[in-house]
Amino acid sequence: MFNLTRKDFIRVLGGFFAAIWAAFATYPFFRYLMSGAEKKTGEDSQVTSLSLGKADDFIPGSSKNFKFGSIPALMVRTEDGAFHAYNAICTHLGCTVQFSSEKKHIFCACV
Amino acid sequence: MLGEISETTFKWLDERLSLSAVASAAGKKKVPLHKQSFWYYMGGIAMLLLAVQFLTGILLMVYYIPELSSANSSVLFINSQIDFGWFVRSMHSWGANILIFVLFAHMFSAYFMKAYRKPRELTWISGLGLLMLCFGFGFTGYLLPWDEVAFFATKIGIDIAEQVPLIGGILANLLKGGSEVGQGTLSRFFLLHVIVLPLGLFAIAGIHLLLVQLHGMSEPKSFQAQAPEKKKYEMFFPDFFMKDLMVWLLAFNVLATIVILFPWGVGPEADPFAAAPAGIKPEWYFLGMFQFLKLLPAHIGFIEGEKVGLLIFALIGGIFAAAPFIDKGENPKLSMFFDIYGLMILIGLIAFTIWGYLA
Repeated sequence: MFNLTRKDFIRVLGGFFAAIWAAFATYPFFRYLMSGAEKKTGEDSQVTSLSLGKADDFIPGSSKNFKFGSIPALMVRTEDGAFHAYNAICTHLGCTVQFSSEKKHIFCACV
Repeated sequence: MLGEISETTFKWLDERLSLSAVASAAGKKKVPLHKQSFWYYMGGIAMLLLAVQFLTGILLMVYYIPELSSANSSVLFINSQIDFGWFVRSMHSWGANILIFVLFAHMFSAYFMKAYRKPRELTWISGLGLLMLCFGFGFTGYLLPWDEVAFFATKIGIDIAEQVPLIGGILANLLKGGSEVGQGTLSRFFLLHVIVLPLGLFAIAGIHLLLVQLHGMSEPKSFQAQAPEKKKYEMFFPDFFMKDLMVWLLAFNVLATIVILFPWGVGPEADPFAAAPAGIKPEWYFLGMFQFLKLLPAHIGFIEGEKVGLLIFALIGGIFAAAPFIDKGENPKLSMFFDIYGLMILIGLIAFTIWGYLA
């Protein structure tokens, strides 16, 4: 079908082993860089509840950005006196949203 | 089809980079074949190890924090928490030590083969400069893990630097960056280690390599004396280069094997107010000089012993560095003198290092 000379054969074989060696040699460095993001910081992910202060401190129509474990969160007290807590990460570009007490809505400054 | 593309690409690059001129110059480079040809690989091994240092150094900076309360724990974090962190860290530590050893071999082989003679005087001097820079890398890098041994070794090093005549006090303060060895020192050593010294290294290594290409491989006198038809050479490309690659592969694998079998640990965090632990010693490449200084009495005449010691080092090193300007190859007696002189330095260095190790 096609003629493989001995020289070509050795070349292909050499390239094959070089590629395997390179993969083995680069893998540790790749894992080294990757594991930084993969490491769980532990305590942060375990937060299930926290206190933001007394209910009376929040007048209706006010809000507060706060840290929930490692997640930015937003608490809004609406005019009817009800409390609403949200994950504050915007679904658009991942910025942190805020509450406008004048316009009475949640918005993101990253447009 | 493929050949056509690569031909066009080469032509395009050639017109802009004069590749064929470089290729034809490289194609002419020859390496003399003789009994001592083995030593020609030392510079290449040093270059490979430097590349390893450069790569692993960048990787270590990803997680290392040059701050007093975090430095030691960040190295511990690399060693214990990050995947292959122990591998990267140990490659850097082991690589540094093996690099210094290879540089010694490279330097002494060039010295005894009289490779420093005309026209290679500047190659010799730039090589010595590179060795000094690597000593600087060793000294500054040793402190960064901020463990007990590093802390006291740095104190000793700065104390010795303070003994340098005239500028010692200024030098010590510039290194310390504070009243004591502390955050100021750590910040400065970090900067020296990752920015200042590397820039210097690139500049001088560039000159060193350029000079080697300019002059070609040095031929020992015994080789030169042979009849022209008896002189054997091999082409740098591809013969020597292929062997170079094999030697690099071998050196890298040897390093990786050492690292896997004997990973480098982290000592307990430095406590500036604790007593120095027993057996504080500088790195092995400073040990010989350290041991020599220890032997000197506190005062010699009206001068401090350490000052005299440093002056002796400067004198010995100065003559060693000046070898190409004195031993030009015309006077056999001078040539013999430098042979013996170098041998005495080599034996002295080995003897004092072993003595320091056992003391």
